[in-house]
Amino acid sequence: MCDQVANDRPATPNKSGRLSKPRSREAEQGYCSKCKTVKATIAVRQSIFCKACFLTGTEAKFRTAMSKLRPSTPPRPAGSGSNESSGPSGVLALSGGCCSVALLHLLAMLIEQDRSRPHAVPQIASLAVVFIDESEIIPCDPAYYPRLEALVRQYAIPLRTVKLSSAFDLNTAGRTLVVENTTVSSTVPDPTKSSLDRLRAVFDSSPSTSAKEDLLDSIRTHLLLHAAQDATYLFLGSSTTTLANRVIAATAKGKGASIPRFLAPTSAPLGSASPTVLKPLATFTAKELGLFTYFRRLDVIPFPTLTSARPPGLKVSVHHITQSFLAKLEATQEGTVSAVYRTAAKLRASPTDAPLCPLCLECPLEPADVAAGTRHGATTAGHVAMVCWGCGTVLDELQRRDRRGARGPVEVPLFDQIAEYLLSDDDE
Amino acid sequence: MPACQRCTTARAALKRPKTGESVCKACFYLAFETEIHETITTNHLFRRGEKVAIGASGGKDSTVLAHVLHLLNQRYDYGLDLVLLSVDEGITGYRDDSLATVQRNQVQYGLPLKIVSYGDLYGWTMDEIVAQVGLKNNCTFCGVFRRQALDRGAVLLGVDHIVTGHNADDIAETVLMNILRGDIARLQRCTSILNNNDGTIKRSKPFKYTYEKEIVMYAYFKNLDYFSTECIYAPQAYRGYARTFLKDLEAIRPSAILDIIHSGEAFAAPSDPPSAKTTAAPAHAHGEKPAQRDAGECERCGYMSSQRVCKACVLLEGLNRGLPRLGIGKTDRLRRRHNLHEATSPETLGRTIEHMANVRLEAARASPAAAASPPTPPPPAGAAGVGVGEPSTALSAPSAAAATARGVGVANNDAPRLASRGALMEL
Repeated sequence: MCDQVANDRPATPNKSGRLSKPRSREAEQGYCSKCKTVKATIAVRQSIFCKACFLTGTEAKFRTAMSKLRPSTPPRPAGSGSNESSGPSGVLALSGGCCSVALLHLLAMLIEQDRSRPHAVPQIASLAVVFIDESEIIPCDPAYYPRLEALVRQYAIPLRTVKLSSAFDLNTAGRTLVVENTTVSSTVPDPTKSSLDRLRAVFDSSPSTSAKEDLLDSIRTHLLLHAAQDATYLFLGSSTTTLANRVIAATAKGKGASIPRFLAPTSAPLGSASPTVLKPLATFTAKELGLFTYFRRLDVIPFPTLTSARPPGLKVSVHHITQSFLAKLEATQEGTVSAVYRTAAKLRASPTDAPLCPLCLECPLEPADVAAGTRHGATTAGHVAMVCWGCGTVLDELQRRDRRGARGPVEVPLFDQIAEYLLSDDDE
Repeated sequence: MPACQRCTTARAALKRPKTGESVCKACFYLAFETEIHETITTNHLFRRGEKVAIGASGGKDSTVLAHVLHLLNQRYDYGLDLVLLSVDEGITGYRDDSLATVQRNQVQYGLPLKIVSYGDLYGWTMDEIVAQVGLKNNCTFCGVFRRQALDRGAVLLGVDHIVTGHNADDIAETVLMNILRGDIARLQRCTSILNNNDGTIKRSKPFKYTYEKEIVMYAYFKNLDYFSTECIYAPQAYRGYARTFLKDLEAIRPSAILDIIHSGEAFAAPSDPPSAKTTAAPAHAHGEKPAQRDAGECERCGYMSSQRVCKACVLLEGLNRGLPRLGIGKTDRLRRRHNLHEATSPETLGRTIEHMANVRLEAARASPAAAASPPTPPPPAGAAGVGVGEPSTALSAPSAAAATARGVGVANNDAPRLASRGALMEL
C-alpha cells in the first residue's frame, strides 16, 4: 500500500477532494539533490551535489552573502586612491590559500556581472589585491611569486605586495616601541639597523611560536588596514573553519572579549576613517572553498606559515594545537566547526566605553587591577594597562630568550594607535 | 636545587605549575593558601556566621578544599560553621571506598559529616540505574540526581552555602566544552564563582583560580588522605577531548587555563538581547503559557524547577516505569505512545522523591538537636548524631516511626496532599 501511495503521489486527492499539487521530486539515492538527474559527486552543506550544481550553488550563495552585507554598510566615498570613482572600491587581502583565492575569483565574477548590467548599482566598482609578503621571516619557494602574479593577472586586477618589515615604517614620527619587563616606551631606532634587521631580531629571539604568531597577526592587520586606507572595503577571505579556529584560539589566549568583533560580518576597527572590513565567506566552510578552487582549477599557492612542516602531534603554538584539535573533533563529530562558529556568533560585546587594545585592535582594555586580581602572578605580564590581557602575554613572551628564563628587551613596530596612547601617557 | 625565589633562604623543593617559580615547600603552602584566601575575600564568598557545607567526595579537590577552608577559617577568622556533605551514588568499588576516605577526613578535621544516598532519596542506586539504562546517558541521571541530593542534604543540615572543589582546570574545560557543543546559556554562566540567584542554596567554587596540578602537589606534600580513582561508569569521552587539548595548551603556555577562564568571564558579561527578552516577557505573559515557568517548584517534589515537573522526577518516573529514555531529549512521542502525561496521578508513578516541604520540616525538627551538638570537636567515629554524624540515620532506612512522625507533622501543617504523598512514598 505504501508503494502505491508513493507511486501515485501526484494524483492523490487530499482531504478536501482536490488533487494535491505535485511535490518536488525527491532525488534518487546517490543523485544530486539539486538537479536530481546527475550522480552526485560531493557531500557538502548536509547534502550531496553534482559538480555543476555545487559550483552554481556556491556562486549564488556568495551573491546572497554579499547582498546581505550591503545594506548595513553605507559606502564611504572612495578616496583619492581609487581611479574608477564610480562606486565603492575594495581591497582584497590575498594569502594564496584556498579561501582568499576563492574570494578573488568570486569577487571578480561579481564585478564582471555588474559591468554587464549597465544600469545596476555596482557593489564594488574597482578591486585591488594586497599580498603581505612574509618571506623575510618565513623562507619560501621563490617560484610561488610568479604563480601568484599569474593568478591575479588573469582577472586584470592590480596586485600590490607589502613587505612585512615595512611595519617599522608605519609610524609617522619614525619611532619604534621598546618593551622591557613591564615598561613600554617609544624610541628613535638605531640608524645603523634596517627595518629588516629589527624585524628579524624580534622573530628570531623568542622561543615562543604562539607569541610570534600573534605579533605577526597584529602586524598583518595593521599593514592591511594601512594598504587599504583609501578604499571603501577591505575584503578578508575568512571561512567558517578559519573563524571557528580563531574562536577557540582566542578563548585559549584570554581574548574571549574580542570574539564578537572579529566574528562580525562587517567591522571598522579604526573607526569611520578606516575601510570597513568585510568577511563575505564567513558562512562557507574550508571544505566548500577547497572544492570550489579545485573544480574551478584555481591555483592555490601554499605559502608557508610559522608552523608549516611541523607534525600535527607536536605542541608548537596555540594556533597549531587548536587547528589539529578542531580538525580531529570535526573528523569524529561532523558539525563541530559550524557549531563553534554559530555559538560564538551569538556572543555580544560587553557595552563598555573602554578603548580597544592598540596592538590587536580587537579586545577592549580592562582596568589593570581587575586583570591582576585574577592572574595571581600566573604570568609576569604587567602590560595590562597598555594592551589587552592576551597581548600582555604576547609582549611578555617575546622578551624571552630561551626556555630557561633568560630575558631581554624587544623592539616592535610602533603603530600610530599605540603612539597615541603613549603620548597621552606622557602628558599625564 | 636552586634557592626558593620567594624566601631566598630555603632550597626550592618544587616549581609552581601556575607561575613557574621555584619555591620551597613552606612558601608554596603559603602562596597556595593565600591565593585561595584572596579569591574568597575579593569575591565576598562568605558571610560571618554562615553554615557552609563542603561538598566532599573523598577525591583530591574536595579533600584539599576541606583542609584549606578549615585552616583559613581558623587563620583569618572567617567565623564559618563548616560541615562535610557527601553524596553516595551507590557505585560499588568506587564511591564506597571514597566515602571511607571522607569518613577518615571527618575525624582528621573534626568536621561533622552528612551522607545522602541515591538509594534513600530516589530508591535507585547508580549500580541499579546503570543495570537498566546501560553506560550511555547514565551520567545524565547521576548529574541531575547529585545536584538535588546536595541541595536536599544541605536543607537537612540547615546549611546556607555549599562549596565545591571545582578547580581552574575543570572550569576551563567546561568553557571549552560549552563552546564546542553550542550551549550558549551554560557558556555564559559556567565561569561565575558564586551562584545564588536561582532559588536554591548558594553555591561557590573557591578553587576557581587554583590549578589542578597545584592541588595535587599540595595534597601530596601535605600527605593528605584522599582517594584517586576515576568513576567506573564515566566514559568522559567528550570531556576527554577538551581535557587533552587543555593539557596541550598548558604544556606550551601555563597561563592558558587562567586565560580561558578570563575569556569565559568575558562571555558572561554581555547580556544577550534575546535572552533578556525571554526573562522579561513571562512577567506579564505568565498566564498564557502555564507549562513553561521561569522559576517555580516541581509539583511532585517541590524542588526548584522551570518546568511543572523537575528533571529528577521525570528521570525517576522513567526508571520506575522501565522507560529510562523518558527524560532524555525530546520525549513527546514516547509519552504519547505510552499514554503518559506529566500530570499523571501520583498513584501510578511508583516511588516519588520526598517533597521538599517534608525535608524542610524534618530539618526544622532536627535543628535544635543539631544546634546543641557542638560542631568543632571531632565526634568519635561511628557516633550517631541527629542530622549530622553517622550517615544512615537521617535519610536512610525509612523506619515506621519516622513515617508516622512525618505523616503527623504534615497533617498538623494542614497539607493533606503532602501527607498522602509522604505516605505513598513510604509504601
